[in-house]
Amino acid sequence: MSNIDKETARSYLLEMSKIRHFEEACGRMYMQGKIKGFLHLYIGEEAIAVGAISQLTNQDYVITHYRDHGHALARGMDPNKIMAELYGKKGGSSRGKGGSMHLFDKKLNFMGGYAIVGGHLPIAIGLGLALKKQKKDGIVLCFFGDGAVNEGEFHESMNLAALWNLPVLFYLENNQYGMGTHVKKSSAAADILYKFADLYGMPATRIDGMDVLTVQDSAKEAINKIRTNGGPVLIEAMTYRFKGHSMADPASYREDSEVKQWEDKDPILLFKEYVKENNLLTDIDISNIENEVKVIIQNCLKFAENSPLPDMSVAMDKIYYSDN
Amino acid sequence: MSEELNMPQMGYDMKEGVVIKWLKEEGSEVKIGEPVAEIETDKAVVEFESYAEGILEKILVEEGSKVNVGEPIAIVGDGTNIMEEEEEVEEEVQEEVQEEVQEEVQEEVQEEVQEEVSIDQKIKASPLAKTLANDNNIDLNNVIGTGPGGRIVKSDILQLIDNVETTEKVKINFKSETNDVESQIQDIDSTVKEENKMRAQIARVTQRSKQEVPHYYLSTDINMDKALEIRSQINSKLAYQNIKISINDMIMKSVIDTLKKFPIFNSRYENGTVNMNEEINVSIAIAMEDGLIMPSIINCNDMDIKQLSISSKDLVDRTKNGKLTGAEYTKGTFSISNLGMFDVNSFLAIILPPQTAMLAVGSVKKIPIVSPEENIMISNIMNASLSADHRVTDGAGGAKFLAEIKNNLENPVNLII
Amino acid sequence: MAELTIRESLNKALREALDNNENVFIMGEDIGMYGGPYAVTKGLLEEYGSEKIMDTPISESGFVGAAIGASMAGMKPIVEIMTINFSLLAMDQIVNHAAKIHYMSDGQLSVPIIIRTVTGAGGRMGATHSQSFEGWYASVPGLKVVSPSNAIDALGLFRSAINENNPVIFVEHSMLYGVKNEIPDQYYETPIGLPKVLEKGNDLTLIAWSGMIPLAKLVSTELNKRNINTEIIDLRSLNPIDFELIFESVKKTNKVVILDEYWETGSFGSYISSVIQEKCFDYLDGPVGVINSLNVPMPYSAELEDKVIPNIDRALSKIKELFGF
Repeated sequence: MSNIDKETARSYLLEMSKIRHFEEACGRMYMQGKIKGFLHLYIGEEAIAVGAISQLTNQDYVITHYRDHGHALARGMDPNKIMAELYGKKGGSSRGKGGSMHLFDKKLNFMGGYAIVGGHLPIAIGLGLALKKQKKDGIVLCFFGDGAVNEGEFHESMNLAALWNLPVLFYLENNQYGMGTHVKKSSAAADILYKFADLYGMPATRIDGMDVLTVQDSAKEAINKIRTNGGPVLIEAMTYRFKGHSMADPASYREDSEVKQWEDKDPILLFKEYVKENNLLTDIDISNIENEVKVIIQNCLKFAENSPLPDMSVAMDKIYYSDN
Repeated sequence: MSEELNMPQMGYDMKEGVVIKWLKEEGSEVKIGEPVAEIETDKAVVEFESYAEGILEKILVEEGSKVNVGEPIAIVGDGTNIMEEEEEVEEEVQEEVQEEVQEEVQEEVQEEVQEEVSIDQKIKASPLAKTLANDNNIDLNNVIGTGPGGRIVKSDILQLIDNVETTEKVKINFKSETNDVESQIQDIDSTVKEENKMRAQIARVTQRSKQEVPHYYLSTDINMDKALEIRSQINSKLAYQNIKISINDMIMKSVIDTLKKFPIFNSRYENGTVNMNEEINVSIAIAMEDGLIMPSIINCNDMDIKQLSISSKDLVDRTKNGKLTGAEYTKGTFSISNLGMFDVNSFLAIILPPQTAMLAVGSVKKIPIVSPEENIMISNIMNASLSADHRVTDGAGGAKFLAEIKNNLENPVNLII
Repeated sequence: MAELTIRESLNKALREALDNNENVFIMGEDIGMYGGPYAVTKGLLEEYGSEKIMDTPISESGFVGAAIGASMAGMKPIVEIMTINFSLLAMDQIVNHAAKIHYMSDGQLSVPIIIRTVTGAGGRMGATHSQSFEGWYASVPGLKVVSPSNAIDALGLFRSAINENNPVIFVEHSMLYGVKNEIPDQYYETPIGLPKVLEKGNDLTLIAWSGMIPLAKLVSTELNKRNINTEIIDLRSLNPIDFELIFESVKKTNKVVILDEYWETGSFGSYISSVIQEKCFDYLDGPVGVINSLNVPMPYSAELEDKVIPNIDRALSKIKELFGF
């Protein structure tokens, strides 16, 4: 495992805590009726977004599924705009037209959260195809879940990426449940999902998604491979969502013991222990980070609360591109 | 206790009527059968006879208002409602007046809405035809549709507008000496409208009858020699009273006597069932300048031929003057149409629903016939044809009915005893 | 003036697009080596090479999604889906993504792709290869749908589509590729959304598009023999539609019949009909008629297919039923 410096340690902890607190705040605001619709929380999976996205450059694309707050925050999206979007307010990233599952930030090459399982994988191929045709160095980091692996679009995309040798990092976040169905009940290859890549001649690896440094290292290696060879790579990160599929899901299909077992591997707790053991951060540093995050969350809630509601002209705007 | 007087149905396809004139004031006493208002239907102005007794407590619609059949136009009661109102203090009365005005406005609006709905339901017209008709003040009731399924279409309205415009031009030229062109146009409009109204009404009734009533027809020749003889005898006796029995009166008498014997021909067919009429109200076809009216002599069951003659003459007079009562207008139970004066040998009539039969009689003509003794002789022969509703009676029954009419006229002593 | 078939005019349009914009590339099944299933892309691979003319696997969702992604990253992909029947495999990409990304990102991203595909019956292709789904796509906000019936509009609409920054479904009819027209020499574009009056008349408006235009002309010829002058409107675009021209015609003729190759239930023609009756109600002199394919999967047999698709006999008897002529 690679050594990291203090600044990196601080950054990883800050980013992971930011996601954790943001998601917890979302959960509270959802219950208060401030946030409507579907709300899928990323709690428990923070190490993946933070560890993988930290290895990207500005020209790389990120594209992801509907559990997208973590990826958006890790890519640097403004928490105020995300929270206002969840509130359905005019100050939101899409002025309230996208919602939780559809966050976009073009300036950050954050190409969006997509809510049809597997639907964004072909789009990721297209982003890679464009990079290749435009002879740019960037890569596409495409997150998807274990549920998407059973979609035809996963296999079509894997085939096209390999066939056309496209710079795509297929990032499988295996949290082991597609909604409430365990991967063993939905895939004949549940134990070796990453091996699908073999069939397409694509390098692939399975890693511990609860350890941010493991995530960081494997992503770095994969991205190097892509930048060198041009072709795609697949990573399967084993992880767990601590909450239900969405706010409407009490997750009664999971044993308490299973949840407990994974909670013991809480990526933030583990990383805090690691930074203390390795003298990267002190308790005071950590406490300062926690306080900094609290301010960020308070501010974004205040921003969302105070943001005006959109009027109907917003609803009728941007249905089609127009020059004016 | 109060009872509503509703716009009466005075014709089987009447949907609405106009209260032309109130004959009683609020607060006055009304008896059953007493005329309370004049109502204008599609065809005529008739007196509306009260079916309730008491005090006319409230008149609900103003003169000139169009009201759907079955909707209330007045309230008759014991007068308590009026008493209560009088006891109230003036301010409240004023408030009420205001409320009433508002209510009336609301009612008018509702009526208008309902009116439109009912037009939509009964007349098939394209949206464009409706718009054009509305713009040109044309009543769709007066328009015959030539589109698919009888739908009134644009060309039907345009043709009508053309006609009206032509008529207008002619009349305006004719009367161009006077300057009051505006009122002339209105006159012409209303004339055209009235003519069309009668025509449209006849068109609708006969078309519906032909479509809905399965007619069958029977025809026979009646030897009128004896009837003519006895008629001249009677007339000479009644001359001092200025009474003149017509052939038609004799036919009526024969029909009435026959109906008593065969009451099924005095029935009405409604909603799939046959209902017997106790009263015999014989309708007679009266030709008008612009069409045809079929008023009836009410309750002629027991009239003798003299009474019939008087009643029929009175009926014809009042028809021409527009003074029929509602009952006379709508309550016929059997019809007779006589085209004898037009030198018609024989014809077949269209039944007037809900009646179930009609007799059509032609001219009395001198014709060589073979007598029972097989001699050729000249006799006065009249053809009579029965149109009857096959849902109610059959050919054999009709034949007996017609034979009885014939028998009565050929042995006319039956008619005076 | 050159006389071109629709096939040739589209080939010309594709060449223009490739020549004028370095971001343009074409992808689809068998468009390169094979020469295109309907030969529209014939000769392009040889001329422009495999970077620009990309044969794809039979992977409709995959390559349509790839085109969407590439367009979001600045490319101008032209995708050919062999037939509109196969487009159902890419429906998620077209409806859930192409149509919505611009909106959901509040204009941050756009999807300037052209999806060319082939609609229609008449080729004895049976139930799964004879459908007309352009109306489905036209009902989706965010998509533009055009459907030319002649070579002039095919070229003009394609030029407009290429200049669009929105997803355009460019629907060609399998039976019309051979339709020939004189193409003007000077450059022109056909605006998306503008219907065209093909024949002028005062008695009846016939609205049609794509494969129903030849039938509309046939009906018009028959009615002309009876002194009924029909006005034929070619929609050309299904979304958007400038209805003004249609309303004008209806206000003039007061009678409308719409010819639509789709099934009766929920057809795009019924939508047109509903707009007309709502906006022109007081000008109508009879019901708005819609003539569709019968509500059956398309039978293979020519004998049956010709009777299922809207045809001259059915059109004339419907018109008689509605208007008496």
